Amino acid sequence: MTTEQVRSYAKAMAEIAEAEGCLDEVADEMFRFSRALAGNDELRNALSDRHIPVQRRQQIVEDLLASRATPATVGMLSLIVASERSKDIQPIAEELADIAASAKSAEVAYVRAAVPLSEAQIARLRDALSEATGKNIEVKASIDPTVIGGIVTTVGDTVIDGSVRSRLAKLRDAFTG
Amino acid sequence: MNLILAAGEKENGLFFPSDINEFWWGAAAFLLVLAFLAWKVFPAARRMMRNNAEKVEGELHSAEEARAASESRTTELRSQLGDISQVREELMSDARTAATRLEADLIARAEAEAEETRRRGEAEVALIRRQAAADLQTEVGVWVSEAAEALIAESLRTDASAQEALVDAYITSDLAAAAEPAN
Repeated sequence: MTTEQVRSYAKAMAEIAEAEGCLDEVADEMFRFSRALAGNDELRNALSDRHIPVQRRQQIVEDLLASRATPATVGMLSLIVASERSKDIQPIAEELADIAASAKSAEVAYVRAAVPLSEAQIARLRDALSEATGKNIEVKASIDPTVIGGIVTTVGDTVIDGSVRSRLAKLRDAFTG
Repeated sequence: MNLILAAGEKENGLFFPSDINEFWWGAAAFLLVLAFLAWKVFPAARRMMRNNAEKVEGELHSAEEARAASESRTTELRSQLGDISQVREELMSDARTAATRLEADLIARAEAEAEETRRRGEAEVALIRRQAAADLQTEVGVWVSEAAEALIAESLRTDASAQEALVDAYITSDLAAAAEPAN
């Protein structure tokens, strides 16, 4: 799927969610689901496997999110699966998060950490990032074990890497010359 | 002679035969033969002897000329031999000089090549040594960093407070450092 198609999908979903009055919730749930999908090969393969009937794949999504997400989110994800766009859930979710943030004159900061962050940590991160960038920041946190420790934040084209992995990489570069 | 004298003395006691005509006829025949010899044979014999003498003299002259020519040729050959010897000496001298120079050149070239080979070998050894040291450093660096990564990852996996400290450090230090250029 091209960037333009991703943007079109995200825009359409944002309009529906906004009409439903739950844009923030839908964007957040879509983002969480996309991160869960990225960390689960079995689920990702199941949703994109065309040998499995579409209805069965939609049923998987509905079963997974029934009690954890708004009906709008479940319906949109079901639509994406039915359209054979399961592989594009992550870029669509990120684009939708950007649209939701823009609606609040905010910018999304994608935060990757090795362990789940507490609400307090996320709040402090948001404040620090807002101060660092001079923008209204909305934090989208996800778990990435490859970070090992610390945090990697991406705001637009800027990456602020405070991960243990990057420090170990620098250490390795220093050792190997 | 004694028999003739005895016969003569026996016949008439004289020196001549008893019949003096025999003497005259004999004398006449002798003179006739002598005249014939003087007329025909003696000149031919003299001519033949003279021719033989001239021939021998000519042959002697030719032999003398041949001997002189031979001596001249011998002298010339000896002279040439002397020249040849000189040329041979010069050639030998030149050959010895050339051989000496060639030997010196070959030795110099061999020494230069040996020096170049030694220098190149030393350079290659130094390069290999540096490369080996660099490879070893890289390998050790990889081992150390991998060991450190495994150790740190394992440590952080079971140490929630360390993870929290890292997040706090990120918020207070890394983001503050990132904010400085913006401010």
